[in-house]
Amino acid sequence: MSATLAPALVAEFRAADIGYEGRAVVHGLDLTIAPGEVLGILGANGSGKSTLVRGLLGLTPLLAGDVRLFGTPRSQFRDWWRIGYVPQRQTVVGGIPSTVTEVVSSGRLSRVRPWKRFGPADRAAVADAIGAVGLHDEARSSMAELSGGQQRRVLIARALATGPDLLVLDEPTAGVDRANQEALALTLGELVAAGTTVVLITHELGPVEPLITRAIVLRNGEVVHDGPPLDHEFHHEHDDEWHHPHGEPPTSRPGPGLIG
Amino acid sequence: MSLLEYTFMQRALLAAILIGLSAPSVGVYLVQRRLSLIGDGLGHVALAGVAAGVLTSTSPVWAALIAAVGGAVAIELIRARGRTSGDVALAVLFYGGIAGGVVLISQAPGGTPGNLNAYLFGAITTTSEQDLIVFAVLSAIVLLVTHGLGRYLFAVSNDEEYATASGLPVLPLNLLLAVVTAVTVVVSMRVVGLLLISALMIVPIATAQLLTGSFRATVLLGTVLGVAASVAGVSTSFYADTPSGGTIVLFAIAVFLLVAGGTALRDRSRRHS
Repeated sequence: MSATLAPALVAEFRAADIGYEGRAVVHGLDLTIAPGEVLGILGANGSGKSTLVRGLLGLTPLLAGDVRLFGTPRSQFRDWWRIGYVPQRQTVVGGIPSTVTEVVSSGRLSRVRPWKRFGPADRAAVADAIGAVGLHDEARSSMAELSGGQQRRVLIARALATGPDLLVLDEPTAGVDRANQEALALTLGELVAAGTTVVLITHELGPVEPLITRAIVLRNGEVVHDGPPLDHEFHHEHDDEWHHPHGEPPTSRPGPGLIG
Repeated sequence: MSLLEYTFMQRALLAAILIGLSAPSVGVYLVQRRLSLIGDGLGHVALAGVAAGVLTSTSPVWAALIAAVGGAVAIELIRARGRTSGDVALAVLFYGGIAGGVVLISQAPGGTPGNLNAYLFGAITTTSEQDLIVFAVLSAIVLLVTHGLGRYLFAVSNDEEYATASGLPVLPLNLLLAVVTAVTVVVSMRVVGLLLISALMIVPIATAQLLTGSFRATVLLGTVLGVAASVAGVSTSFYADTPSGGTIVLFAIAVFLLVAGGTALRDRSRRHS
């Protein structure tokens, strides 16, 4: 359905100021995201990466300008199931035990009517999403039994439960061991091959790097680079916040097996 | 079966079952969002309603319901506006409710703060037939909402920001949860008491989660423990002549301590083996 109805652009920012109470964190943003793009958003802490994404999702107010999702102004957008969001969250263990299936099922709700029980299609979508992140054997496990990297994969599965056209991930690899990063890259690769648009905030590229088709770099709430991820000029100008992917890994990067 | 020969005990036991079913069904979402004490605040607000009902010679149950629902909606709207002031707003509500209750009841004909005892700590002789009908209807609403919309309440309680980003009606769901919490407080005002109801929302769930690995199992086991504690407490209250609310809560806490001790021992022996 979405294939025939899909407009030219997945997301569109026009002179957008995004922030709180009159204080814009991101200002004057002009950005378009086309279907099938894998957009990496880079920049130092506080540069506005998360605010940009939160402005897209309606979590942070739009102070000026225009944001459109699939051609519809954000304030009128209702098809939230078309967007899968993976928040930046270190732990997902709430006060009450919950299983992987229960958490991933909560991602399916935007496609289920209130008071309705999950049908076979809903249960299949949840199982498929769990399978897509390679946690099929843990479907009935309690979240508390999983490693940090596995919990992050559960949040990705939750975002996939509606079959979204756009997947937005905020620092999906931060604090995740190498094995889980590679599992994530594999999952993302399959989604991208199937036509999903991906927006990815990241500090360290790691195994997901080859997937990225375009990178923007933010500094003080403004885009200072927009282009291919390995642009020479971009390396030169932003080497303070960009780890050269072909150089030695920085010492701060966690080694494999630290968490898993 | 001497206990069931008394109609007041039949009513008290039926009320106890309704509370045992409702309180943990609501409490599980309060524990999950770390708002365990909100039931307590609503109990305080309901007290002001009770006193207003006594003072005006109208039904204390209906007056308490209006006060508690109003307080619940107010808390949720304040919480939605900005998190920093939520803590102070809760405190104002707590103390405003209980102070208002004490002052209002002192103005009632022949009223002393001592008259509030049964409302505060529960009594087995006070549930009227009309109360029981109201409680049954209110409990049915609570169970219908908490189980019928359980997945939504889970999503909002588990990760409010994610729920917003998925386009779920977060504020209406939060308001709904606040209202059913208030309704549960009122259902329990006769048998458990307004100062102790929060314990029956929280303690059976806290016990259950020590033994379970899923949300669903926690709800089911918490409900079983809630019904067991309230029926045991009401029965003991009859034989031992103790306030029913206190007795119910002591039962719930005893089970919690037993289970917590047992699981701690089990984990220790696992680590050593």
